[in-house]
Amino acid sequence: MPLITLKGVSKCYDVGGNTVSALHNVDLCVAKGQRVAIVGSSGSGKSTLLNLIGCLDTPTSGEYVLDGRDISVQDGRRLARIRNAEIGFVFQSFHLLPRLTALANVMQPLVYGGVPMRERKRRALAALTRVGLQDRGSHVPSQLSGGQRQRVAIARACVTRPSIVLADEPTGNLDSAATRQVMDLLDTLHGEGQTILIVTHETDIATRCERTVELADGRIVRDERS
Amino acid sequence: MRIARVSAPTFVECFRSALGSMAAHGLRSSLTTLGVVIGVASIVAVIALLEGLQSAIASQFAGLGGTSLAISAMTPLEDALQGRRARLTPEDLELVRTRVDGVSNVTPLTVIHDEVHYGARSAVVQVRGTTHSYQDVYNSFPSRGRFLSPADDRQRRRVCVIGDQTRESLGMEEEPMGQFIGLAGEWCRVVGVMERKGALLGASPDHHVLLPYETMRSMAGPDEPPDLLIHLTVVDPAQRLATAERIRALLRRTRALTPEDEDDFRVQTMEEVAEALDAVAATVTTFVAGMVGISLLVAGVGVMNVMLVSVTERTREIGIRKALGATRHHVLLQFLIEAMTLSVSGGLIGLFAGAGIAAFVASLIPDFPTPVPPPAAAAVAIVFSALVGVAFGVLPALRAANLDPIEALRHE
Repeated sequence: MPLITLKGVSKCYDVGGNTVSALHNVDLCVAKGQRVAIVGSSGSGKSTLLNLIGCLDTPTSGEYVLDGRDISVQDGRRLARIRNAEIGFVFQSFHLLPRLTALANVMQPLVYGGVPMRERKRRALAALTRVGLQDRGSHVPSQLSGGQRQRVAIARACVTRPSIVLADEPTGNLDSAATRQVMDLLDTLHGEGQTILIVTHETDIATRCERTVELADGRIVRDERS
Repeated sequence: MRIARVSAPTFVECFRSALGSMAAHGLRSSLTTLGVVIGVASIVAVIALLEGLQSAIASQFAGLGGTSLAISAMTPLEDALQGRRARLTPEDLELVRTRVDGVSNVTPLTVIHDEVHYGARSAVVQVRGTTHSYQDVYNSFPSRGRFLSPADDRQRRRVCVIGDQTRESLGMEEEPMGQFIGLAGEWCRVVGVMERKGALLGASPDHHVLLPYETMRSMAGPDEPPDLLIHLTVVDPAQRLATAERIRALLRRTRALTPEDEDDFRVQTMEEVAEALDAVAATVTTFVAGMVGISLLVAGVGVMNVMLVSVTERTREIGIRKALGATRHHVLLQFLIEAMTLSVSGGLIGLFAGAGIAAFVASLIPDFPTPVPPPAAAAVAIVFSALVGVAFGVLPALRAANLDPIEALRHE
């Protein structure tokens, strides 16, 4: 059974009284453990698709089934629970909480999951160790380099052991060395069986994925498996 | 709101986050809490001082007992404006003594301020003319020597009992019995020294001289119209009010007051006197509470303003938290706890500041008892400041909780 199933999913926004269609009748299935690159020009609907898959939004029409659960009918509280337990986000601009240390940032999803303090700390330290930043736990984001910040973000995305990691241009703000480190980390996660969806403009990142989905004007125009 | 669904670790995290946010904006947080600090400090200080004052007054009245009645002259305003002054006379005293049943210890008290001398030293003291039952009515007894006796009164002996502070002021020895003090051109022999009562608002009840009532009348001479205060004890406590009414009817009749005339005297139970003082304290407390209520409202608006700014500044943070799995309730709780932490910390600082101010003010007033804010007032101050935080934190917290996560994440 596929982990992600989108059937005839459309998403419309009301902008100044006009209805704008961001996604139109999208069908997509992603199996567990797949690494999928989502590509397309700006405004093609990549981010909208990622937001829908990440349960930050619900479709206007169509059906989204995540691991057997129909997401289209869930309320805000359940969507939050699903985001917390099933989905890990990695953003282009890292989106770490600036006042918290790296360790506290990684612990944050566990806070919302109601995990006790000691267990939270243990799991967050393990996640930081996995990304090679065990000695940077007490640093706040402003004391870390871009690559280190994104590695903290990856540790945060994985700390709840989610079903899917959604990465939105994860290397967009990084130099080539840091890009390599981040992609190596995503490779490792994928090697361990993690399902990963990466929105990217960069072809060499897309080629590292076994499947590429291309969007244009809110429709899937290409779905290639390498 | 289904806050019950939010787990205990989240409460702790919300509180930590609130402290972190306050620390990150130290000056802004301090200025925001200042309004709450001032409001709570003022009410705590006033209540603590009033409590001190009330306990001091209560201890002064404690000796008078629940079965005592006090009769005093009271000049109606109209008469006072015409220069007339009502008095209680020795005849009124005799009337009460002889015509009212069920009373005992009928004690006259006439008071003047005069200079007393001993050797080369002198002091201005309160001179009280009274009888031997004074000590039972006022629950005040000599610590050395003896009190005035009925024979002293009958024979108009030139004897006196002095307050301990009077003794000190005149530089007399610890046991001054048998010594003579000069008063109104005559010599009075000291027969006793009263026990110390402690001072109230600087007016010491220990700074007095007690003379036999008849002695004082004879020393004043026939030209001096005396004004008496009469204390008495009602034998059956249940008959206290009925006795007061009988005395009132008797005095009205003998003073030939018509039904239209107001009483030119007052018959009060000690409870009434204490109640009158309590009423004054309650009025002051209500007035101050009203003023403080207004200042806390203003402080609350300040808290709301800062919280609204905070929500706008932290829109992206809210988006991140929602992406990580924070529910609407988590965000609502976080900002509510932050608003409450701001106002409650102001309340706590205000509580200690208020106690400090009260202690400082009390130290400026001689012999004022140390004011301690009553626990109820402290609790009310904290609860009220928490309520200010909740009431004025709800709107910003709702605004934060209702943010769309995608919009919030895009916020620059």
